[in-house]
Amino acid sequence: MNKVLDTKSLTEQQIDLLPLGICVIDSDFNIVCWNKALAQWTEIISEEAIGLNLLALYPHLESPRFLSRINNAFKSCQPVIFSPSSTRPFIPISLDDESGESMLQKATLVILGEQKKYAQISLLDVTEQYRQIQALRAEKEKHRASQSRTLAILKTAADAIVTITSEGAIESFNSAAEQLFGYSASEVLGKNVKLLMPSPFAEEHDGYLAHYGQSGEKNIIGQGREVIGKRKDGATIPVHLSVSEVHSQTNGSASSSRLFTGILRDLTQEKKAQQAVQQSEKRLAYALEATNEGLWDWDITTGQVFFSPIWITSLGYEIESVTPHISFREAIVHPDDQSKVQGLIQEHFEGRTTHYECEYRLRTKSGEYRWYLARGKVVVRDDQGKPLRMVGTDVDITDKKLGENKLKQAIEHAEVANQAKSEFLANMSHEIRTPMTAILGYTELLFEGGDLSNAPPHRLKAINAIRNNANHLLTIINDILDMSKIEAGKMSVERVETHPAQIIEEVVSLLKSQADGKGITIQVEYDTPIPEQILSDPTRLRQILMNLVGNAIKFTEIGSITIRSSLTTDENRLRFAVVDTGIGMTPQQRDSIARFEAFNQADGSTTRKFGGSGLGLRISNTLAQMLGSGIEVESQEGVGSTFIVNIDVGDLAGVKMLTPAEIESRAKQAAAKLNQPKADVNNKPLEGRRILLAEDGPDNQRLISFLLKKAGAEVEVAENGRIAVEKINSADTPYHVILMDMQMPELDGYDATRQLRRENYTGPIIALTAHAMAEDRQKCLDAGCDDYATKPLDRPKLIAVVEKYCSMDRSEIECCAS
Amino acid sequence: MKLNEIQLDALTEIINIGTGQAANSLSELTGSRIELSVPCLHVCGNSDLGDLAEKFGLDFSTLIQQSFEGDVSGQALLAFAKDSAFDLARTVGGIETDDDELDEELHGILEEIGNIVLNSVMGSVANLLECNLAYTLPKIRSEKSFGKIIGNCANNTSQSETMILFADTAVNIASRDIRGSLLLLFETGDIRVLLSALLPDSVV
Repeated sequence: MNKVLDTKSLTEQQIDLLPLGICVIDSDFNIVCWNKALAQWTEIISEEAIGLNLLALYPHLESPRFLSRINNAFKSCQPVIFSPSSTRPFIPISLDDESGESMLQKATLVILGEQKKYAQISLLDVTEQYRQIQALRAEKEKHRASQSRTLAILKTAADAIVTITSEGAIESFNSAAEQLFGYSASEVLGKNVKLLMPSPFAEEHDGYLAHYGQSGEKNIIGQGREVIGKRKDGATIPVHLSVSEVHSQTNGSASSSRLFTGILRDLTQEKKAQQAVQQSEKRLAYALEATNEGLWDWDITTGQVFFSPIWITSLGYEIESVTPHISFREAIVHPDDQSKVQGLIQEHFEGRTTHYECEYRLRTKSGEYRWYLARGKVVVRDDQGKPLRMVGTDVDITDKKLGENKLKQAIEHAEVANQAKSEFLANMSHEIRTPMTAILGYTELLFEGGDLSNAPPHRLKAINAIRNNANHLLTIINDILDMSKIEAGKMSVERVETHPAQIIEEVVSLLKSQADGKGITIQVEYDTPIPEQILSDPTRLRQILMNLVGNAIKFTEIGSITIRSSLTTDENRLRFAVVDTGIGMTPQQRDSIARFEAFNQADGSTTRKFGGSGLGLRISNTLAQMLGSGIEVESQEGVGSTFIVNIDVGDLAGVKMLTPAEIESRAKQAAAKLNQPKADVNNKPLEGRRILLAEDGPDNQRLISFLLKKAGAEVEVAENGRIAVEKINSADTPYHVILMDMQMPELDGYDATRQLRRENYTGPIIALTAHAMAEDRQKCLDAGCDDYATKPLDRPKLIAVVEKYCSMDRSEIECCAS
Repeated sequence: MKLNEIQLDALTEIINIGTGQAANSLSELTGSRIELSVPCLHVCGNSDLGDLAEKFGLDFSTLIQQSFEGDVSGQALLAFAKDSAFDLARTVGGIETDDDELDEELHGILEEIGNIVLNSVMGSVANLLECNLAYTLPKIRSEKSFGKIIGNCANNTSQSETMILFADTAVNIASRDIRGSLLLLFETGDIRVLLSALLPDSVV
């Protein structure tokens, strides 16, 4: 130490201890002082430095920045400052850290002494200071960037962001807020936030803020909630508001101020959507309630099901007790309906049905099963079409189901009753026809039995009256039978060879006497040639024309009736028009008639005047529909009526067309034949024929026997089927023909015939039946009969059919049948 | 004390010589052309300065102060609006970062600029007076110190009034026009010394 003190002056020591680099140069830049700090920094010790030239040591100082200013300082004694520069330091000094940077120095140069011979250069190390500045600057830059980012976020945020002071003054108002409230930021900044609130919230707000300020009691801070905002235009808007409290350190002030940031989201659309959903849910609920339908919504993947309260309560369960899972429903489905339900659901799952619909039974809480109609649909499927969600309803249809069953039973009862009615009618007709056979037969016999010219006129009149009324009764019975067939839908028609011209002639000849009696003529006209034969039902065609012409006669007092026929080739139909000059009908009557309702004449009064069951026209219309098209009616009151019927003719290929002239000549020929002397007629066509008549009624036994015997036959009678079979089996000479009544005691005709055929009896058997229905005929043939004759018996027809079979052997019969 | 037109012209000329030298120095320092001009010199008392500043729309928020003593004594000040001051410092220092009033680095540069300008101007005055003046190192002062600087000057000069030579100064650097003020505060007597040195033939 002493040595140092010896060699260095006190001032020098002081300079050494300064935290500055000190260097003193003379005006020639020769170093005269180099303190310890500088020695350390530059690693040039004082002893080495002193005497060196500074410019030689640091040549960069010769640059204008340094040299001229230093020279000038020597001249003017003015101090010079060199600000710190990393690129141009006064004296380049490497830092002793690892940065590799050089020391930043603030250099000052002052001239010492009055002689201006020396300049003292002080170097202040400001490296650390500047580093701090740089760091601070970077920090600030970062902060600024983040601030501008925050500002950008604030500005572009979709939610409105409003900050207010603890006094309620608006501090910031982003553009979403501008949009939400309709104010620009400049309009509201600094103003109290109350202006964004409607009454009474606006009035309460100050109080709330003040209260919070004192008590810290939070109402809304830290949690979001829905509030009402007020726009600039006065409109209120539902908004979701969440408020957070921020303590911000304001610049230049040590005290922190409280700020509240409110984030607001417009709920208008959300509210609307929510309301729409609520409304539609309400509507659905009302509809479901009104129809008492229970709703279910089934998550198929998890099995979770939402059962609506109605669904649950209608089954008598408590809402809490029902597991919201599909297994609950599965468990209460009636065991008999399980597979049906599963099947239909599966079918719908697989997309084979557009909807699921199923009637099934569910067990109520009381254990009773009630019927439900389930209707539903898979509403969500995955990409592969796998069902994910199904929604549907169940409605209680128990009452309806019971009603349906009752209806079903009622229908069954009605059908049974109707069946009974049909059977009754069939039986009645049989019961009536049987005596009618006798009445008509004996009446005929009375006419033929003796010389009527000798009979007293009143007796002749009586016989005639019996015959006419019996025929009338027969017509009525036939009509009732037909009607019952129509009502039962059992009416059928044939398609066989039919000769229309012949039928017209027959109708005319049958009704001629009736017309003659009223002084009316019946004319037949052909507008076109007509086919000799057509494919139709001759019996039914005759019936239609008989009815129409008969009606015409009935309702015509003066004039004529014309049957006009023509072939309409375009429709392939034969048109028959029955034109009368009768009383005609008013349009109302015509319409009433044209409805062809049963038991309906033009009006009730006509029935009394003109008689008739009123069934004929209805039957004719139905028959006409079956044979072609229905009856058309044209009529003019007081002038007359025209009833038109169009009949399908079938295939006419190869069928001869008859001109009116040809028809007339044929008719004449037929009439001439009829008028031939009786001598030509074989009065005994059944001469030598053996006939067995199986018939239980004594009157008919006698009548039929009489007729057959009159025709020359030898007749034996059997009272029932059993006797008939016995007689046939025991007969020495076989019978030529068996006439078999079908309704007989002990063994009826069907069973007797069947038995005979089983025993290989081959002779002809002709059924006699009062059953005029088509199925009866078939029933006879099925039993083994060869043909069939309907009671009451038409004498010539009976003789003709018996005659036919007498002369045929088995093979011929079978040939005929086929 | 009022100065006539000739006196003012003469003083303006002296200042212009100084600023011309300063511009050269700054140009050398930065390697780019810098112009400094003092179009017009005003004289006022310290009490009138506020009105004058207002009239010219000047701002003394950032000051670079340098005191001098000798045959004449006073203060030389360079004043800028804060933004202008930092703008100047950044341009001269080649610093790209924005602002900052706390930034020591910018203050350092401003000190050096002030040192160059004030040295040149005062050098020009000292040459005129053929005297040596003693200077303090330039120092950055804030606006708050301004009143005190002027007041100090007044106090130092006991009863005599402070005269302020005031020049509206335009700095053109890198095509930017930066406006500032140059203020020289003298005691009234010292102005007379100055004027007599400047205009030896006129009666002051």
